[in-house]
Amino acid sequence: MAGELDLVARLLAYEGGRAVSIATHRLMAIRPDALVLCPLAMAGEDTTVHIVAVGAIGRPPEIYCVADPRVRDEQYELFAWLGARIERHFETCRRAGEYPQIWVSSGAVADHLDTLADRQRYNRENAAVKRFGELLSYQTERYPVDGQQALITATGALRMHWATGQQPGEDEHLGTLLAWIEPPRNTNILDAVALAERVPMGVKTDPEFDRDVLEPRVAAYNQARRGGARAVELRQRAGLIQQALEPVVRSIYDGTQRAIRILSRMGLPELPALRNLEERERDEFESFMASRDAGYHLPLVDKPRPAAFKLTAREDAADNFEAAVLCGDGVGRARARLAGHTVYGQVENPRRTRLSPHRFRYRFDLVSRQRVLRVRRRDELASLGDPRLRVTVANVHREGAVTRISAIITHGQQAVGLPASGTTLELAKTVPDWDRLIRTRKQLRQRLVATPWTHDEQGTAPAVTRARRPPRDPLAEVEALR
Amino acid sequence: MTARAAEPSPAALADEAVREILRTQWAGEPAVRLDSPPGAGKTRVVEYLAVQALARLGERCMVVTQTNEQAFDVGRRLAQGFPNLPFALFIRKDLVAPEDVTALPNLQLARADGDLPAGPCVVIANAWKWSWVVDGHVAPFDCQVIDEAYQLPDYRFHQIAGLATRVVLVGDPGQIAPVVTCEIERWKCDPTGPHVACPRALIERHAGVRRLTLPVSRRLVSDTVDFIQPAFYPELPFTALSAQGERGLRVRVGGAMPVDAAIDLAARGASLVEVELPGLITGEVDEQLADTVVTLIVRLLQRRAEVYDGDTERPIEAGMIGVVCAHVSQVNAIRERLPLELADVLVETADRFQGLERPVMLVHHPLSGRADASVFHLDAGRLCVMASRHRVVCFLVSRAGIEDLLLRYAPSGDRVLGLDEDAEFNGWHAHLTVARRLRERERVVRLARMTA
Amino acid sequence: MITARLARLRGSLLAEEPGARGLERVARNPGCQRLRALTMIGVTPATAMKTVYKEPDREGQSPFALAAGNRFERAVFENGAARLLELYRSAGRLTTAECKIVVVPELAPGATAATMARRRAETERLFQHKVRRDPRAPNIIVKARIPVALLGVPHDTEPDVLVAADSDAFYGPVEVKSYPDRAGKTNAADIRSACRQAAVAVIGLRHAVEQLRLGDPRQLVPAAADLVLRRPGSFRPTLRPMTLAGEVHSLERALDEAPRNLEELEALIDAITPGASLDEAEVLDAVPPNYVEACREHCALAPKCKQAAAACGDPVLIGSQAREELAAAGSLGRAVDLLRGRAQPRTAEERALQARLQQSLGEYRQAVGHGR
Repeated sequence: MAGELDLVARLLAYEGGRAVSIATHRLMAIRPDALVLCPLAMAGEDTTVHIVAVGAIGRPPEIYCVADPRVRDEQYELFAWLGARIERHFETCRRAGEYPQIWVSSGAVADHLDTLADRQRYNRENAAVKRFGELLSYQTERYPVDGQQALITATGALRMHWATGQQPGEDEHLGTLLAWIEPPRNTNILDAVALAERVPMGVKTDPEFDRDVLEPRVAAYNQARRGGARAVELRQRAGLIQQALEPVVRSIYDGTQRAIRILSRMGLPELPALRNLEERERDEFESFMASRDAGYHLPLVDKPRPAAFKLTAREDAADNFEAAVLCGDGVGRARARLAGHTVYGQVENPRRTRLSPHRFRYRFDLVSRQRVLRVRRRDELASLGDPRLRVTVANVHREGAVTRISAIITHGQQAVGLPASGTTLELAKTVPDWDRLIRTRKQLRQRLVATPWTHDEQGTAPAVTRARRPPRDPLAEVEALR
Repeated sequence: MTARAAEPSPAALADEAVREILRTQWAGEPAVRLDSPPGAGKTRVVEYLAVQALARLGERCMVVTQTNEQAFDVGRRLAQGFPNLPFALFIRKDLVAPEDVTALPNLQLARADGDLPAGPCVVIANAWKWSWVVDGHVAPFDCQVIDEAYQLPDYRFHQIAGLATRVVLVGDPGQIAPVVTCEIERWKCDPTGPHVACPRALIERHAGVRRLTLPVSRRLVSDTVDFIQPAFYPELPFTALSAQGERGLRVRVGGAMPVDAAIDLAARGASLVEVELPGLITGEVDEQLADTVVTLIVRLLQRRAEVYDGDTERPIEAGMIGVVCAHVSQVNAIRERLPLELADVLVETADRFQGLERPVMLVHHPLSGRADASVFHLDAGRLCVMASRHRVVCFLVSRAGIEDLLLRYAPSGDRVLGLDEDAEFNGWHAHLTVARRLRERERVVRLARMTA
Repeated sequence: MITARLARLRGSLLAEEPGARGLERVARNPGCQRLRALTMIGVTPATAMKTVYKEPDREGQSPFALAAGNRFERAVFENGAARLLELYRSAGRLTTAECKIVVVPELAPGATAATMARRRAETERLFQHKVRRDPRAPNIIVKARIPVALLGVPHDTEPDVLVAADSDAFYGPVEVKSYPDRAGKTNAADIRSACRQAAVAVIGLRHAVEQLRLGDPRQLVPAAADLVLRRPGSFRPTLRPMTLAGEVHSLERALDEAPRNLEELEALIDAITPGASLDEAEVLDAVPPNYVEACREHCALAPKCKQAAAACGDPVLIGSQAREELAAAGSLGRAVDLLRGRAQPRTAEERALQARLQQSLGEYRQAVGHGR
């Protein structure tokens, strides 16, 4: 659920008739070698691409169109063509020790690519198409992971940095989002948005367009093909189809490129954690490619063991990304402060108590005026200013609008030291831990080396091996031990 | 003519259910799922299983909790309840344990695998800590008892299930589901998915696993059970341990303030009372509602209310009162209004109140002041937790219009293919059942205006 | 008489058969009187948009999607519904011997009113066979014709399939949709739509059981249906049994409330201009909508209702959550004025709202480092 800060941002956008910035840092990487990929599917045909525009950032697209994607061989040619481009991109990235990044216009496109990948990586008829599906699976498997840099939607990227004065669902239309961010002059914003909304920016063309323009041309092509028309005629008819579709896909491509330009030119520094996120992406890509080289297949349905690994990795990513934005972005920090995810206040009463000749306890109080706080006794917090300083909350006492948190320093007594009275300190439960996943995976590998019967779908519960005669009243026997 | 055997008392039923569970361990049952309604004494059963394993079966028993706090609590209860038996609390190296826990002479603190006792023992730790045990460093356990098992997602259970030969999953199926913070789209349709509560996933995979229930709530009085059981536990019949009238509220001083009508209703035997403010859409934070909650608490104390339970009577003190809300902002709104002398009133979110109880509870109704009912606020588990923390009385404080809101509501219809469960509809239905029953039984006290 | 009242409210608009899609719309947004009004009088939102508001129809399915849907249906039903039968056999729902199929339109071909009446009669006959445990009762009925009453006016629906094993007491509905079945990744709106239409079929079956006095409707027809969807990229069907308690319940409630809603609607319109009808834009405008984010998914009037929301600064314009959080202010304009300190709070709630908004604004300004 969006918080109060995002609500205020939308109010400001509504008031001003233009989107307002909601980030102080760029929250995702824009790789200069990224591919911009804009496919259009045929309506009702969930694993097709009728026309695709693909190109590098800032470059015009290459376009490939098939007359009728329901004709398998033609469709496979498009996939093989696109797959070759993706393969080249992957190879270049791999050689450079980098990772491939693909930009699409919106979530609908990402979902469509996911459907394609899930389907085509099992293709038994065409090795090139199968490879295309496999490679695309890298992007689509990474997409649901928070903080991933492999598959970026323009709408998602813009929404991380801008709040509009419309509903969150409407932000998924790239055209309306761009209208809010760069509203056309001399036009009421709502009129501009209504106009922008009519231009397809996802993965499908308008039903009206299909009815009036595309379907007649595709039908004519098919009729000619079935009637044994000559190649010249077929090419001409195919050309008419491309003529109809190309402006649509170019518009989406241009919109996506425009989004990338806007993000690049925001002039915002990168989120400090981006280098860690990209490092993670490189590792994931290398691991993915090594698995493909070794011939491991990507399952549609996970058995318990891989599911445990994947869910753990996703949770780790979600925690780390949230912590990274909280720590590294000014608006992220403000959001967290308002929602009580950080404790922010003034230090009072710092003191050192001797516990034994060589052991001391360092304590201080933090006095906060935050309206909403989520801190509880025995919570473990880290300083956002210097995460080496970690504390355990000994007590939380609220009186009216003021909360006094008593904290015991558990780490950083020497490295950071006891904060001085009057210092402003901000503490949070989570700070990013980029090595946690490595440790966790290592532990999971160890813990899950054998499948317990509880998680063995083929197995049965073990037979009872040690049945013993119970006492007449086992409850009384236990109670007697009190 | 043969005399009909007397119906066993709730206490007898409860005890026999516990005996049955204990016997499963003598029988060597590889897995048992124990479903328990609120306040049925789950954690007590966990204690019994642990003590039986150690002292009667000569076994190694690992107790699994969900949080550190729960581990401390179980450790405390075992060590204090059975002072002649040794127990071990297995915690992270740098975790600061409460002083009262570290002071227990028969509760050893173990911080590394190597510190764990060899031979028969009871070791308590949270699930996360158990998942870090290194194979070969710790001797296998005979028995694994998981407390609050419905809060443990299956992928975490997977990591610890192999540590013991037998497993007992003890939990409340009506409570809030495990919280998973990431996307789960690829497992949504899988009833044994990694995100699914482990007792449910286990039964899906192995339908033959033994299922037992605790048929009696020690915490809830029969009046509350009449509300809670049909709304939240239609498949799990249970009764109250206490007899009608055995437990309740008394007030020593009369009162004529608007909220006093609710206190008086409670004093006449109503264990669930709704205090209804005039209708208003307020969003998350409702200042007037927070004021009313505090006023109600103050009035209970001013009127020298006391709770009686059988032969014992206790005047109500701040530490006997709890307030539960859906949102942290609501918790804070109430906390900032509580005067110093009421600092011991526990105010928390529903998630944090799971496993806890107080004689007197006040609830900021999750649907109060809302324009629409969302999946989060309709969650049956949340309302169930909120309405089942009290031993004596619960005041649900809300804005008028909840029933209308429910009747206007159109399900968002976010369904999962092939799964029977429609959590949203179940939650909606549970809310409506409670709301209607409160109205039908005249448990709604309407305040014409703000009371503060 | 109901039909006369509805005709009066319709004015010059022609009644359309709502079908399952139209009927389930009545329960989509119970707070929207406008949607309910149109559904009751038998006019789709798309028609209202085109005919009353004179706006182009941007709805409608792509011919490619229609063709794909038709091809999938053909694949499912060709060769004596071989694929469908195989699906049910693999799921253990039908045995090899349970292969009796009746295609109701084949019993009464054509499109006349008489033909439709005959289809209804044939359907009733088949139901009676089933309840009497006649061994000839089919296992699969394709396109049975079942009326569902809205305001007492029967509207025919044609569930794609009804299925029953020989041992089943009665039929259960099956929705056949060409939506791709992607398990947990299946488009949520597709599932929603399919479940709601299946709920219409459940209600139709229950009505039929009641009308024909075949037994206890709820016992014979539980709130459940099968969804037959499509394996992505192929014409192979998948089978997904779904319980529909929520969908059936909300639809039943909406149908039950329809008579009261009709009276309210008539009173509302008479208050504007006695004898007015909903074929006039000003009259339809006066029927309150309940514009929410989900409207865009299913209602052609969404752009119109959005315009109305914009005209009064309804906070829902920036999201459903805003409607709740800014309720004290009542409008976006007022909320902005409170935020900017241009307006004095009139109530304690506005004061509290202003304080929260200004605190958030302060944090925001500090974060972005400039005065906004």
